[in-house]
Amino acid sequence: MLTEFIVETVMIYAVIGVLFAAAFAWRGVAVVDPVARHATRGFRLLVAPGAALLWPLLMVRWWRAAARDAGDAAEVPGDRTERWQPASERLRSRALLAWIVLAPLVALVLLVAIRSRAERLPETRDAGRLPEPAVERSARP
Amino acid sequence: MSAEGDSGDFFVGYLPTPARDVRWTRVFVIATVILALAAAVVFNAAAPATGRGVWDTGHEVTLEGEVIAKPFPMLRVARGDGTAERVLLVEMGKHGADARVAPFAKTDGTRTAVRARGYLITRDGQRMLELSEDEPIAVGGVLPPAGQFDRIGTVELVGEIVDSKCWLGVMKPGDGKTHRDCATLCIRGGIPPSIVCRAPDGSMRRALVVGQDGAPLPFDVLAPWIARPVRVRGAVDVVDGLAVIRVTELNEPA
Amino acid sequence: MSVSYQAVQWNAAKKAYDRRLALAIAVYLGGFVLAATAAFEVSPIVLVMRAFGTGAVLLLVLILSIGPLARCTPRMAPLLYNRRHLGVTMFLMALVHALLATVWYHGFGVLDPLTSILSSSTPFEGAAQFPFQPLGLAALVILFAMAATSHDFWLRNLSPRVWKALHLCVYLAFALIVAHVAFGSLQDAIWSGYAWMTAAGTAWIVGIHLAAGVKEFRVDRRARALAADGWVRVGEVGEIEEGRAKAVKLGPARTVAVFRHARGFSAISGVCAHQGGPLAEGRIVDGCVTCPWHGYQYLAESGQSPPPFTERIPTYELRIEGRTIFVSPTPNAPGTPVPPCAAGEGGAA
Repeated sequence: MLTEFIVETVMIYAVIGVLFAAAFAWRGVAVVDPVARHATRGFRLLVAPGAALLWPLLMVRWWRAAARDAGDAAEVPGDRTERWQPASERLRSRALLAWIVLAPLVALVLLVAIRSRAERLPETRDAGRLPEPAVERSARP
Repeated sequence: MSAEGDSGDFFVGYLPTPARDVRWTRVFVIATVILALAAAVVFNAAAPATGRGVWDTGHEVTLEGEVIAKPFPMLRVARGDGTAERVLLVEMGKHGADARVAPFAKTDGTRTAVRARGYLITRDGQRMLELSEDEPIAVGGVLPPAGQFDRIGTVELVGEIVDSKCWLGVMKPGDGKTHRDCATLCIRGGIPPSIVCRAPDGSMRRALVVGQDGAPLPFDVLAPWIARPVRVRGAVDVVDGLAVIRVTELNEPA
Repeated sequence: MSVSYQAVQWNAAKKAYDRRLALAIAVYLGGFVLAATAAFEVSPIVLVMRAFGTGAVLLLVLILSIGPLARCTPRMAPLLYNRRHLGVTMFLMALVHALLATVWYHGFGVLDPLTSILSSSTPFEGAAQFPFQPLGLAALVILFAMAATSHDFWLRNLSPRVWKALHLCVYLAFALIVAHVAFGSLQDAIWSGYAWMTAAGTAWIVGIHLAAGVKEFRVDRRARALAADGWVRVGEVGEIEEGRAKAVKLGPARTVAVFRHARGFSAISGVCAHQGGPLAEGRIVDGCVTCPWHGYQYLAESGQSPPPFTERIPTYELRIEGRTIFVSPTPNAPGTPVPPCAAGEGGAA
């Protein structure tokens, strides 16, 4: 039940995503980011999978960008540096935190998995009462 | 301005790479590839045995014999030595052949001879026929001699429940955990389940798994026990050389 | 740098990089097939599935090794430079592995393959029964998100912070892949050498990341201790070599790069506008501050990329008292020109 719901939801999301990605690569990308106005076809192709994945976000961006005055100058890269720089630097210490959390988890997973490794099937006495395989007939063609 | 106009030993992607970096990178990459190849050797050395099954997709064959629908679709085929052999019948993919075989099998006890076209799957002399797609079964041909029946009695086996089709040679490996989901899907689709176990002489033995009443076990009963070590109790009969276990108990090995 | 977008901004170094990557992968896949034929016979699809799966895991180990190693030696820079092509290649290899596994194990049946992956394992009945394919699927989704957003378009439009955060999910993908292997093929392995190899590879990746993280944490803490009231002491004039910089921490998460160049000293943000690369570890090349990660350039006096590029980063005021350099803790708007401060000058206070 739950599995079917998940699968159906993912399918619907993906179908909308693929349709949106085509429209976005064709038109939307240049509206959202003026730098893409003269972008190559190869770029449009590369941007499509990401658009299919992030379509709800890009749909909002496209909407907002279209509502803005079309003549607005593009934001210059780096202008928002001050806003994201501290957070960006904090990410580095987050990375250490991530590893501190992940290290014992990964070790536990490996330990449990290695201990539960399948052993060779044991020989059972009663199995000898089943018919013997005709090994000689198994020669490869 | 000694540092300017020239990147010196400082790597910049779009400028020529410093000689020291070139050497170091070469050594690093070659060492990495060698390590990766060593890992490939270790991986393959640790991979489990896959048996000697053969799935002969290149040759369509026609077998003739007596058609049997229960507990699983089978064809009793005459052997050269005057006995008969039971060849399991399955569809292509992960589907049992019950629907296709049922119309040919009489329920009143009379025997029907048919010709079945398909592709042989063979492992250690045990055969299965994967039916061709378009009308693979036709009435006709000769009936095999009367059957052989041996009652082995109640046994206790520790082994693994597999789907017979993959294990007999369609997939290599056709057992183990990595194959579990496939085995589950096969059995769900009607491929006959088997238990495979190791005899004291080291050889692998196989028995078809059915319920106490001789009919296939419901999928939900079997599902949790597929492709993992399992202890099975039940009465074994050997019909035309094919072992069938009527399972009374399924549980975890001690 | 951004003038207009292309599919791939190839240059000689990247082309050579990609050619060698393709060659190395071909050598690996060929070697795997040879090693496999010496072992038990497997179905051709399983053989290809295993070759691509193991190849993807090994490539991920390489990718994750580059970052921490690059913090130990600048010699890793050429490998770091085009790492995103490694990442996309790794995703494609994992995808081949996943598609083959899906078709082979979950196709041709009575359930659709995705439902089969999510439902047919019997979970939570102990480690040996733990389903491993959903773990691989989850890792693949993360890898797809990363590969699909690897173009600089996404970096710019998601903001470097969000982009970096998204791409840090590779650590989670790594953990999922370890679990996928541990509860998957490792369960069936008949020789414990495979288990040891998996444990060693995992320990290596976890170990170097912890070591590099701890090292960085210590540097951060030391740098913070330098902060005084008002302007922040950078160091002595003689500490900074011509064409190099010194990193100064203003608070816990704001780095300034103080460069010495032909016209004196200049301070700019220590974080590249591209991917947040450490500008203080860069050098002056052709008169411009050059990021050590991807070679993005800025004029030290203005924080602006040379035309036709349009990137700009914040600048900072400097003053020199005697032989000691101080930096203002307040950034100027990105791209604001600041006259360089020459040694021996009083400087504007």
